[in-house]
Amino acid sequence: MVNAAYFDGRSTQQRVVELTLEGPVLVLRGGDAVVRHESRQLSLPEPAAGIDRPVGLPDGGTVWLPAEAADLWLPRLRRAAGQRVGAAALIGSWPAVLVSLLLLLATVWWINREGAGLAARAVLPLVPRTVDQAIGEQAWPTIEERWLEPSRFEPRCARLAERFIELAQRFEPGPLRLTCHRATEGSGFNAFVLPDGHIVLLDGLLDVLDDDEVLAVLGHELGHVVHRHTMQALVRSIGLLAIAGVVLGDFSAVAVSAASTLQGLAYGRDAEREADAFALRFLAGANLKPGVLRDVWLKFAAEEQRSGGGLPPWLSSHPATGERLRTLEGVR
Amino acid sequence: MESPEANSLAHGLEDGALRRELGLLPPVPPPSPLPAAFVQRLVFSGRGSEYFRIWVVGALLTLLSFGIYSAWAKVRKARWFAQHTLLDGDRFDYHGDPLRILAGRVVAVSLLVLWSWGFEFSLWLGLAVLALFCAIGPLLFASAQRFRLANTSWRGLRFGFEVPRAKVYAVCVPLLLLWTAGSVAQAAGIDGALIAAAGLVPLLGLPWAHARLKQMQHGHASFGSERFSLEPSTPEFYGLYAKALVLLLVGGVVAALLGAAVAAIWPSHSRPDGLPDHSALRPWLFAIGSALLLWMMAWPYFAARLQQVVWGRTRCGALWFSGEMRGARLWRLVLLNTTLVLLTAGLYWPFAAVAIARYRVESIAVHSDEPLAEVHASAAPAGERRSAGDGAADFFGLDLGW
Repeated sequence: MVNAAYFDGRSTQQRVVELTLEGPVLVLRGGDAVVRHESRQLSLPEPAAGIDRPVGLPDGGTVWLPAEAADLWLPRLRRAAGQRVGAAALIGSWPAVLVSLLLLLATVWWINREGAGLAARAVLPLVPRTVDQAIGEQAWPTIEERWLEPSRFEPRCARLAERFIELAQRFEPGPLRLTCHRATEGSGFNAFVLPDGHIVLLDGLLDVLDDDEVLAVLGHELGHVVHRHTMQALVRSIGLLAIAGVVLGDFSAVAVSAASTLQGLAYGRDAEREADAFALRFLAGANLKPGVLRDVWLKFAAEEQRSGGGLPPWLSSHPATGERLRTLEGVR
Repeated sequence: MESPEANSLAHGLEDGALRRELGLLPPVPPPSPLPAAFVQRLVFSGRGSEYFRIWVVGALLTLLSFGIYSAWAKVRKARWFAQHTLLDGDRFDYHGDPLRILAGRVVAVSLLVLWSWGFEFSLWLGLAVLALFCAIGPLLFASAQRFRLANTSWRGLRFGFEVPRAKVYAVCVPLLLLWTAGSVAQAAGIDGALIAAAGLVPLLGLPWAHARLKQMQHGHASFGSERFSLEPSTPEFYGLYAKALVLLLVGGVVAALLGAAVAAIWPSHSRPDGLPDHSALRPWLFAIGSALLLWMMAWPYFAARLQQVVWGRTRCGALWFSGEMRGARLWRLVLLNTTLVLLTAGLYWPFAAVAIARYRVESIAVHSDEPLAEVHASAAPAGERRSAGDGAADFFGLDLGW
């Protein structure tokens, strides 16, 4: 028998009742009144060590089982009511919590390495190509207005576009477009592609690379188009945000977005490696030597040297140029 | 001007609250200086190691169930926090239904996806999403508030939140418009000095809107049949925001000085030994470091002062309250705990959450002329409990302030 605090749910007035457990029946005695409740009529709390536990009564009242009685009686009441504990049992045992922690770390690690990529590849076919088109067309006017001026290489650009688009057809890339522009900021030693297959070459590249080398760069960009890398990245970033939100969510929104941005960059580097491999296939199809791609990386390295160092690998959207050169070692 | 709702209008004129807000009466000082015969602080009895176990199991099951378990994990967390909060020796309790929270989360995720993608596709879709926010956002917010309070109890009685729909719109829509003015202007293609103006000028109205929001939250809450009330305090909110702004400026100066010092000892020339030079990292580190520093400088003072202002003006029946959180103390607590979370790659987080929650909870005191055990409240007539929005409000980080 224990004394317990009882609230009737109609006022904050506390009453002290005597509790006894008679088989599956909880008996409350207060003054002359005696009330009996079957275990399955009660709303039983989850186990938690060391604190009073609230037991909900069918009349809307609550009785707070003192900690020592709760540890003893709650399992019996629960058994009598046929209720199981579920996740609270895991929480109650340190070994189970440590196993859960290891499983949690392993799950996050696996999602990071494999799961997110698998999921993105599975979801990608469900996203219609028209979405890629719409995003590309939507983004282009802003990009052109903010960062681009007309190119100094118009006739050469038109020749390159004709040759490239003809060579690209064997890879069935869908609609393709190539334009050249001068960048308003920075060296413009770059090229990029929009999700709708619009490839943009910047004058900085055309200054330094000959036509075959430009084709190697275009082969790389074509790899992004064929693998739908931009759309993959969008699909992945949504998934990553969701996962980081689960693990870190109630810590901080900043931590969530930082973690998913860094991981997004890592996937970006994988996509670049995939596009590099595609560039080699493209060069072979164009009867050009793979050494052309190495010459491009050598010029990239010289450019990086001139402009003073790249970002450390984990903060970069592209693999380090040194790594790209090592991949092509022995190629001529 | 308050919504023309007969009930509150008559009530407001009678006790002078409305007349004070209209400037017809001088503002009254907050009631907290009254000497109280009895002061009870809230007590928090939870320990970080217990919350750690709840957190690990919740996160694992949530990931393995593709997020569905998060509703059950949330109920367990809320119940744990409530049952470890004590007033006058009695524990609070939480009774939320996970299925309703799950429904709220589906709504929240859909809204969030619409909001973050709307302006990407077109200005008109973005504006349509904003209109949708203005139309249903306030109702979701109010229903989340009701869900949270109606599922919290102390001494067997439920809290509650009942607010007329017109008032919810009158309070929330201006806040939403002020908050999103910058993004809308950006999407509409305004640039240069105008975008800065479109982003910054509405911020001047933010303290006013925030004060109205707090007044709605506290003024329409109830415990049993007792109503909470909050004295209007718009000037104090402007003072609060001004102080936070000053701290942000101080943080900015400190960040700039640190940046200059780093630049001086970390020269940008290429290294002669031919090793890779990571000087391109500097702007990144600088941006991340100064954002963290700015947040660290301003947030604890803001949170502490907000609690003082809001709870110092809150009453409920024969009770009144005070918020006694100190900015400097919270600042030290946040600094220590953020450092430990960073050093342990996040594993310290549950301990940090508990340490900060304990301080926030235990800073609230309840004042009364009689012992709290003698002050009795009775249940309100059973009202309906709807709850589509708890998940949504949780997602956008809205809370009652403690």
